[in-house]
Amino acid sequence: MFQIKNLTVKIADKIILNNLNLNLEEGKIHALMGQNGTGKSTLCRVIMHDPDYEIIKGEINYQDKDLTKMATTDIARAGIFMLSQSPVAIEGVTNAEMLRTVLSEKSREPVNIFQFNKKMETICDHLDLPHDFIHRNINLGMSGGERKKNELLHLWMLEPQVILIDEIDSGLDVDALRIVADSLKEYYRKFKPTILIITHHNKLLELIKPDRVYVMKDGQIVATGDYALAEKIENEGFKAFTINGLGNNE
Amino acid sequence: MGLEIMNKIIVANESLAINNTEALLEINSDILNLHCTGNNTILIKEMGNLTLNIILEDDSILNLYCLNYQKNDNHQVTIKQKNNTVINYHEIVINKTKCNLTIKNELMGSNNKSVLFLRVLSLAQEININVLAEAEKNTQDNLIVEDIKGITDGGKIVVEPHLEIWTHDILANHLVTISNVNPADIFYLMAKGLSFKSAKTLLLKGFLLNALDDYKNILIGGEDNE
Ligand SMILES: Nc1ncnc2c1ncn2[C@@H]1O[C@H](COP(=O)(O)OP(=O)(O)O)[C@@H](O)[C@H]1O
Ligand SMILES: [Mg+2]
Repeated sequence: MFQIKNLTVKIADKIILNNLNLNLEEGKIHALMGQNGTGKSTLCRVIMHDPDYEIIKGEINYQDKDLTKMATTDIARAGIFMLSQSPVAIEGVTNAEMLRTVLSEKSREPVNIFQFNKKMETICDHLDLPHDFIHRNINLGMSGGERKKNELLHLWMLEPQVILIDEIDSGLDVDALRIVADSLKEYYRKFKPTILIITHHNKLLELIKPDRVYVMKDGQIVATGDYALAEKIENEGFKAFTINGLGNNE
Repeated sequence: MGLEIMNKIIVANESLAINNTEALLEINSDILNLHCTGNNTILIKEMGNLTLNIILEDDSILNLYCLNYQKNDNHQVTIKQKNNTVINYHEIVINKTKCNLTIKNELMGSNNKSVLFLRVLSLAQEININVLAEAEKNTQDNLIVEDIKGITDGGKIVVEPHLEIWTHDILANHLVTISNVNPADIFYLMAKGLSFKSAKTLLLKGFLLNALDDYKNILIGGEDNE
């Protein structure tokens, strides 16, 4: 169980998350929807403990630990992975170098280079990426779609158990969206991770059917439901939802 | 040509004339007057407190590569260009103590090109970089490109460009970017599971590798295998 309790967060003197409560069930797929600026990306970054955000109160409990008290590195090593909405490009650091360092630091032994490369190549093929992505600088000079696939390359190499996917569908064409969705579905089949998918659109949710759907507004969860809720939003928009829970499906 | 087969010239005097020379200079004096004719490629490993005066005779070329990471005190480089010359000045500095660098470019004639490429990593203290360019009256078709990038991790970099150009017939470009190790990059790498320390190490190494990339042709092989 991944449990967020009474989480209040601010940045630059502005409250962004306001007493937010959210539970993610182990091995289930959750969708988080909501208009721009409601704090969805903030939630992901706070889960990873981005030091830019100030946690005023609340807990994020996972495997008997409170993530709000842990360093970003340790959160990642506990198996939590964020696929960021706009991943940064890092000049001079290659995918291979970063991943090899992460894996060897985590296991405290050197990575078997032969197996590592072989796995990287297999994943590149699976994501329809050329093999030279292995040694490309992280996200540098990559199109929006390539960046998202590049992040999936990291995902497959690191094999996390909790995945936060922040608007992976934005800026993807139909073909890229299908490859990305297929890849996520295959990952889910293989590892049964807990997934939180953030999206505005139903396209991705049609491809990856979520078990639960949450609607966020002004830094709070205002509605909870099943896949039908996502369809309702597709038809009616977010207008019906207020903090008081109007439009709550349950 | 590779570094291992590059000639080493040990310089004990205050002057040296080079002509179609490719060499690594080991300089044992505080002043060096370097007189260039023909097409030259020169490597200097530490400049320390060197005052380096370069004169490019008509139609000469100098590719100069300097790497300073141990004795970066207060070196001063003057580049005098006559006519139809090219200087490609490349310098990498990594400091732990305060240092001052001055690079002065004097364009005495016409149709010269000067590329001043500096990559600076400040780990502590301060690096002051003064870049001065002067073109004499009645000269024309000169081009100066300053390309300076710096990254700081606990230190500080100050760049002060001064151009004193007496003719309109000159094109000068300044590209100066100085940044700290970017916290967003650190967060990104830590969120993938890297420790803070390795995240920072990878980023600093990345900066230097990019700078060295430019040296690669000289250090490991011909320019035509790009
Ligand atoms: N670094 C920041 N500095 C100032 N305000 C921020 C910062 N990051 C996010 N915000 C503000 O927080 C609110 C929520 O942003 P975000 O979490 O990105 O929303 P969403 O992902 O739901 O579109 C917005 O009003 C945004 O302007
Ligand atoms: Mg967002």
